[in-house]
Amino acid sequence: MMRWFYKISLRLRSLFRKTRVEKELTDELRFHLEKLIEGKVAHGVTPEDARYAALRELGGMEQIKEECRDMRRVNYLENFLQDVRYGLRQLRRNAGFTVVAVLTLGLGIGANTAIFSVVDAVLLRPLPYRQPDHLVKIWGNFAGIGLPNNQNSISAPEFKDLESLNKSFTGVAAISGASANLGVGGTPQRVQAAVVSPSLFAILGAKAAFGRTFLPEEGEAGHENVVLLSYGLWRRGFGGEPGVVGSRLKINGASYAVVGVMPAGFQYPVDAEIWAPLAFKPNDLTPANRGNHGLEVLARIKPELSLQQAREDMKAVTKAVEDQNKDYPYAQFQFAFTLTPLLDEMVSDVQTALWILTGAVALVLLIACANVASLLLVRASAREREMAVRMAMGASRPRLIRQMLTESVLLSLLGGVAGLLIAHWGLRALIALTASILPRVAAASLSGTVLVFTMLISLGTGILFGLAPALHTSGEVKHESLKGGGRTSTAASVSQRLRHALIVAEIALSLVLLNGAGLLVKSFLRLQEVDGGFRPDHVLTMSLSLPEEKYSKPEQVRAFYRDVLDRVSKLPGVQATGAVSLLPLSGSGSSGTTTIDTQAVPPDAATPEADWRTVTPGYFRAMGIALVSGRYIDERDSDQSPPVAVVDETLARTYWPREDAVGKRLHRGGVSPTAPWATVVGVVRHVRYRTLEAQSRVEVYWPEAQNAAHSMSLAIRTSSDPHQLAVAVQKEVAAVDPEQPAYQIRTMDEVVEGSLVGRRLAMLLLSIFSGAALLLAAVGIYGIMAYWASQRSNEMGIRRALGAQKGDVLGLVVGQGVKLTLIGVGIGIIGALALTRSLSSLLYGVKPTDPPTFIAVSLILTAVALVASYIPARRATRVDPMVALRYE
Amino acid sequence: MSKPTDLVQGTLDLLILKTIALEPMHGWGIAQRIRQVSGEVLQVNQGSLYPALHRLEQSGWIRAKWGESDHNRRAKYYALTPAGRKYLEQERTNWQRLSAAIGLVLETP
Repeated sequence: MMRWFYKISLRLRSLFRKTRVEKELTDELRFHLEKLIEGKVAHGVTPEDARYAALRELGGMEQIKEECRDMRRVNYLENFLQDVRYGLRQLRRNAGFTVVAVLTLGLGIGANTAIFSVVDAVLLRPLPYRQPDHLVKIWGNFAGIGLPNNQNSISAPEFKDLESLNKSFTGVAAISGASANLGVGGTPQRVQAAVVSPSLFAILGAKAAFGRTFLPEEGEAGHENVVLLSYGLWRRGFGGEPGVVGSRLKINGASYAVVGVMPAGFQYPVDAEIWAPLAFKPNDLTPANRGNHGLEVLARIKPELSLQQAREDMKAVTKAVEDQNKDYPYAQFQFAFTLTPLLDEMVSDVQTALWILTGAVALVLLIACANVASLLLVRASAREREMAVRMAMGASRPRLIRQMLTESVLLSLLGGVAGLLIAHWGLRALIALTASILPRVAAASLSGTVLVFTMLISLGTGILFGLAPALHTSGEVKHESLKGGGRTSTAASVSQRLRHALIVAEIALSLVLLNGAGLLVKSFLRLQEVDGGFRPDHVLTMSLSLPEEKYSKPEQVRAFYRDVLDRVSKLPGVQATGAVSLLPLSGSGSSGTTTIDTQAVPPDAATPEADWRTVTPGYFRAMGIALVSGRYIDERDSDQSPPVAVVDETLARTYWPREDAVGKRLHRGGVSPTAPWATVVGVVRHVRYRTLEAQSRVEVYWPEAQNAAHSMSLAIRTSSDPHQLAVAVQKEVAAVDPEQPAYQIRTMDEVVEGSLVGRRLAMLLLSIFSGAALLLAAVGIYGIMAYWASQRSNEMGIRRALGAQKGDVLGLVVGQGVKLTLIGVGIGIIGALALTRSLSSLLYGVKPTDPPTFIAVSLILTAVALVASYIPARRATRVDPMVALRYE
Repeated sequence: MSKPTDLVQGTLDLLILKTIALEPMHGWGIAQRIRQVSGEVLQVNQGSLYPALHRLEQSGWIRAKWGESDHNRRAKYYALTPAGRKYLEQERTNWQRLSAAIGLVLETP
């Protein structure tokens, strides 16, 4: 006890009474010295000689003092503060160097911080629900259909099966998207609604802010109409009035009782602002509806079970469902219920891209580090004398390394501060750019986690780029350095090798990044050349969604769309108009098992899962979908005439090969349900409805007249800029039904663009990062070559004096630069071959080892390196031989 | 100048502790005493003596006090703390065990 108290008081004393402690040390050693001298004098040596002898014997007063100081332990702290002060002074004195280094590091750290903020918000943060790791989405996987179309939503009968057969969930909820036309403040508003199982809220662990969530019985058919409001809608539409709970609302023309308001921040599904309970009608649960896959299903795994155990359970459920429904082609399509953790589900599309960008910015930071390290090495050579003096004065090697590292860490921390500023702006831009494609990105901020990350990478980079120069400088006492000159010492060649290694590394890293960017750019260009089966230019689109309550009869729906399309087609500049249940590239839409009357394939293969689209006669012309044979759907196809369909060329080719599909028959549903046969009247080009990257399923178009759809999108082909027509078209819609809002008003070009936005962003960011890498590498090469040339100016002078031409000198310097570049390019190509494979999932129509890209990138990099070493080379040729020679 | 006898660090600590066990002494005195008592065999290098003293002080085994030396000169006197006395006993036992063991090894034919 006593001992610790004593120890601590000693430490404090050495910290705060430093001058006193120092004086005591000096006194103590002087006393010793005097005793030593006295002893010698007593032996008859002259005082003068005795003094010298004693000093020699003692062996370096300052070294002993320093060792004693080290024993004080607080020395570390003291030295550290001293190093910080000294380091700051050094940085201030070399303001130019400091600014360049801090900016370089700031860019690197800033880019990393910004990207990490996004990664943190999107990928790392848990979802805002109770125990989110136990939440899973359930999909019906039809492996037999093949990628990318094999993942299906769940049908109502399947959902009931899941509910009753599973042994691993505390609850299962079905969600069906819908939209609500809500009259708020006089104008019709379309609000994203969700029709959900009452159990959803318990599964998510969410409670109403006030009021209540749904009761189990509200999920049964025939119950009173009730809704929940989101916090945002409640504030916006109802002025945050608590009295809204218990009041009645008119939605889609029907009356609903508001039972509660959800808390701010509650979101599920994304964008839903109003919830209604999902109740299955008897019709929904018939065998005929088994193929109507339209429900999103969410489940919570029991707390004591793992995901793996739940997956095992799903195998049993799959087996049971397959056995109980032999007439549905489950076995044929290798059906299985699959579970995806909710977070993976939300971010799976963007995960790869985000991790690749993270890797890319990390490489940029490495290059920035290499640049600063080589700057420091240059400075270290200039400071060799200073270090030699310090060592001679008793500084130990670890002490010098510590001091150098303190300086570089100071530098990187300043870089970190600059980086935070850059990240602050960068993150704003990033959120604005990605809001529509990255889930949860709006929550990205420079949070505590991010600040810790920035702090750590700043420290890490400081140590990383400081270590090489520090170790190098403190290598050994260089006696030549003390003597001055020292420009030609061999130690300089070690440092030169290090600098060259750094340049090679920079070039190699840049090459990897540039290659990645090049491959993405090429994929993007390839993708823009893809023929999606339709002509997106000059097409205006907008969506309409008629409430079933108000438009309960098919004739009403039909009349509405006919009137709107009639009026729109009379507008000036309109060439064709039509409506479709779902536009290309705007979602997966509805699909279903279709039975095809054919002899060409075995009977069990004649019931494919097809994409179904309901269209009005003008749609094909408006969207520019070419006719292959037969005719388009037209006015002849009415609810009075026999059922017809138009199919795409893939369906025709697959099921009626070597035959004309026109005149053949197919119907909805599996073999047994008795949907009427429809006659194929035409074959059209295949349209890539799902993604531009791949073919969709086989497609069947049904005439709207025989098959009313409440939600349709208008497609209007115009002769001039389609944007100009938007207002006029909306007016025509309002003229038919003033309560009906039109939404998602976009040109078809914008729809296509929208489907590529994630890809475009990844390409853009990677291009920016690799551009930054290229710039940094160029600056690095320039700096090193300039230094190399200036170090050798006397050599150049001698060469010139001995008759070398300007061209020879130029060639010498540029040659050196090119040599380094080529080594870097070689290493970079090997690295790129190893790394670009991780890009595979982001590439389209390009191999990760695409030779033209590799060659082009290598050439660009070499050209840049040439220019960067040419500038200092030209300066070297201007050296006057006489001046250079006299310089030594 | 080579050190006459290389003292293992722990050994020097032991010698210092033993030397000041009787009475407080200053650095010079400690060096002299060790040399005399060892019959001029052990020459303590000043370069190691003072760091060792400071280390022992920082560890709380000894404590320093300024006092009057001969001719009214101020000198820093080191004395054992109670903890240091225990530590000395412990180290002495260790040393005896160790040297006995080494002796055994060396004398075994």
